[in-house]
Amino acid sequence: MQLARIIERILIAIPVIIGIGIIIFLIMRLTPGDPIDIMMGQAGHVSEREVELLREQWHLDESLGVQLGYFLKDLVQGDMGTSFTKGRPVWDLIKQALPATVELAFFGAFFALLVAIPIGVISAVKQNSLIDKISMAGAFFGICMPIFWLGILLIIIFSINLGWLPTYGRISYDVNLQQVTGFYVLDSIITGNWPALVSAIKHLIMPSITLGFPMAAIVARVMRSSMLEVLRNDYVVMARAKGLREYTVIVKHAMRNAMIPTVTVIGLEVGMLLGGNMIVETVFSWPGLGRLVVSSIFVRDYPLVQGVVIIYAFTFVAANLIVDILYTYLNPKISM
Amino acid sequence: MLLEVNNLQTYFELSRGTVKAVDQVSFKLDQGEIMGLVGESGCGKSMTLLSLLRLVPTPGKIVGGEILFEGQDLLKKSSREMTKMRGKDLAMIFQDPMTSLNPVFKVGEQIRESLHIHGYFQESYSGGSRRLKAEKERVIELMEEVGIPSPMDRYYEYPHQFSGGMQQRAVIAIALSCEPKILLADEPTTALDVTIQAQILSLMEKINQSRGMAIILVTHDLGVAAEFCQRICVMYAGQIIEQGQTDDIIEEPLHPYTQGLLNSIPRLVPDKPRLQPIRGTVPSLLELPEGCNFMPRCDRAMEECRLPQPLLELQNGRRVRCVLYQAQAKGEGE
Repeated sequence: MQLARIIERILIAIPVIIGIGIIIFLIMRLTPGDPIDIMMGQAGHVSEREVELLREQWHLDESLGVQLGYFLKDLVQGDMGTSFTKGRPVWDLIKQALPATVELAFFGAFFALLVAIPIGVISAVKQNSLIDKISMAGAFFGICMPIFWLGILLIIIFSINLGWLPTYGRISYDVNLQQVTGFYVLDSIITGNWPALVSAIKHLIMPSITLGFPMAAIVARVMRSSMLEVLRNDYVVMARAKGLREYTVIVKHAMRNAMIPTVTVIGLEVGMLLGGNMIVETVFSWPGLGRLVVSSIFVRDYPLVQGVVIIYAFTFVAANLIVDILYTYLNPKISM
Repeated sequence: MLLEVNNLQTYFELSRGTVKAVDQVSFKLDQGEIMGLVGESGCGKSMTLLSLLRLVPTPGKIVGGEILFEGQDLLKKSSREMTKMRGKDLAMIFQDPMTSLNPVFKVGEQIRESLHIHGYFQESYSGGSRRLKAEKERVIELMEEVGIPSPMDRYYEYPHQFSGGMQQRAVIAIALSCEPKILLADEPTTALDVTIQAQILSLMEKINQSRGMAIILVTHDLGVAAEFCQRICVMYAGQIIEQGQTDDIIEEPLHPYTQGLLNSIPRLVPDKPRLQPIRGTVPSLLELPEGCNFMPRCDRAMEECRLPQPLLELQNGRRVRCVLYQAQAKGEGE
């Protein structure tokens, strides 16, 4: 894809993200529950004056339109505001939580693709075999099952019963890790801290599987069905007739074509990964964006919720842009 | 004898019964010969070709017979040995060029792949980049040979940037790349315009003459076969029902089905009706009659037709699977 087209796509994304910002702004304010009331309820004795001062400070005494104006003015200047409850800039809080979420999402997606693509291909090549039936039943289960239930199930089996894996957090307290990037696996490799690496990976296993399982299920099914379609094509017979080994026929000639629809689904699934991480981060006490946004919704911390949702929207748009770029690489018929 | 097929049987075991897609097919092919395999769609022509390469799609299986290529039975080869022979000794081109090239790879690369996997230039150039260069040069020569204009540029184009005729030329270039001894052509011109058809056929004829490559041409068009082939096998419902020199078959078709096939070619002769179709339809391969497969549609059917019909050996290398010629037969030529 040409650079100009990529830049154009990025520019188109800006109004999309602002639009999402406006929607989440309105939804938050139209949701019953007042941030000051919630906060004061927790604080105990407060005077009317203090409440009024807070309302003024956060512009909550103004009309909705004026508040939206303030929000947009700050947003286009790159300022997401200050968290009501934590008293710190929203961007700081996001920056702090983002690496945890990205690391988890990465390993979740990694697990999903590592499992789903070979399963999809093998199921298609050995259609209606036992392995196909078992994996498709597994995929069906993966689509139906609630994600928190899988998380809890894994905790019961691998932490409580077997005692192999930790149940919460990103790393053990007894491990000292010097932070460089905020990605613990990466940091421990950079600093050569092997005990930290082991601990970080142990902490990642169950959350990644829980997060990645539904994605794996969908990707495996899509991969299987597009592979089945591709395998019926003449060019597959042609590839065999040329004298290619079956492995080359499948992996080079067929898979390359079957990846085209699969990549689209993967792009959309990255968005689902974000939705899933709120649940997974809550189940595994993972200190990422998902848990941050869930807790801030409960206390109606408007700026924080808006900030995180905008980051989600940005990730979603970016993932789809990457998919589109990949698409032109995979499918020569499409030139953007 | 380059290729000798004896009693080839390819069956599909379905839940509703056994489909005999290729049933007791026998023929011979000489070096440099062009043989036509003619019949209606679904008569087993394409399956015969795929059986020769042992690429019958599941649930089909070759259940019997032998395929002697230069005296060696292909059905006895290991699948590894067979893989090596495909493309190198026997190459195949397909009916629809639009779908026989892989849409995601450059055309030139698809031709080069054939050369590469069969180890062309492997010995002469051990270095990767020099080998690649030699392969590319050969591909460009091949593209020139099959009549693709400006092959230097077209090497880097994708199949969708090629017209149908050009795609078929590229497919032919792939098939020719390793100089196979036999080219299996499965309706190579059916999906193309009539003018392009003639071009592709003359290209194949040129290759046949310049390289002495034998060709088995599968077609439903008796006209094409008559023009192009030295010998013709007519297939009906999985079986070869008549076989002989092209001129003999066109001038004096023996089997009632071949006669019907020739009669059903539209003619511009004033006194005759323009079209004489064969009555009835091709039977389902699941519900074949006992005995002669053509009997239900045959005007000359008789009681003896209910018995299994052998392929009778007649004069001048002709063979026919019909009870009418029993008296003239030299013997049974199964």
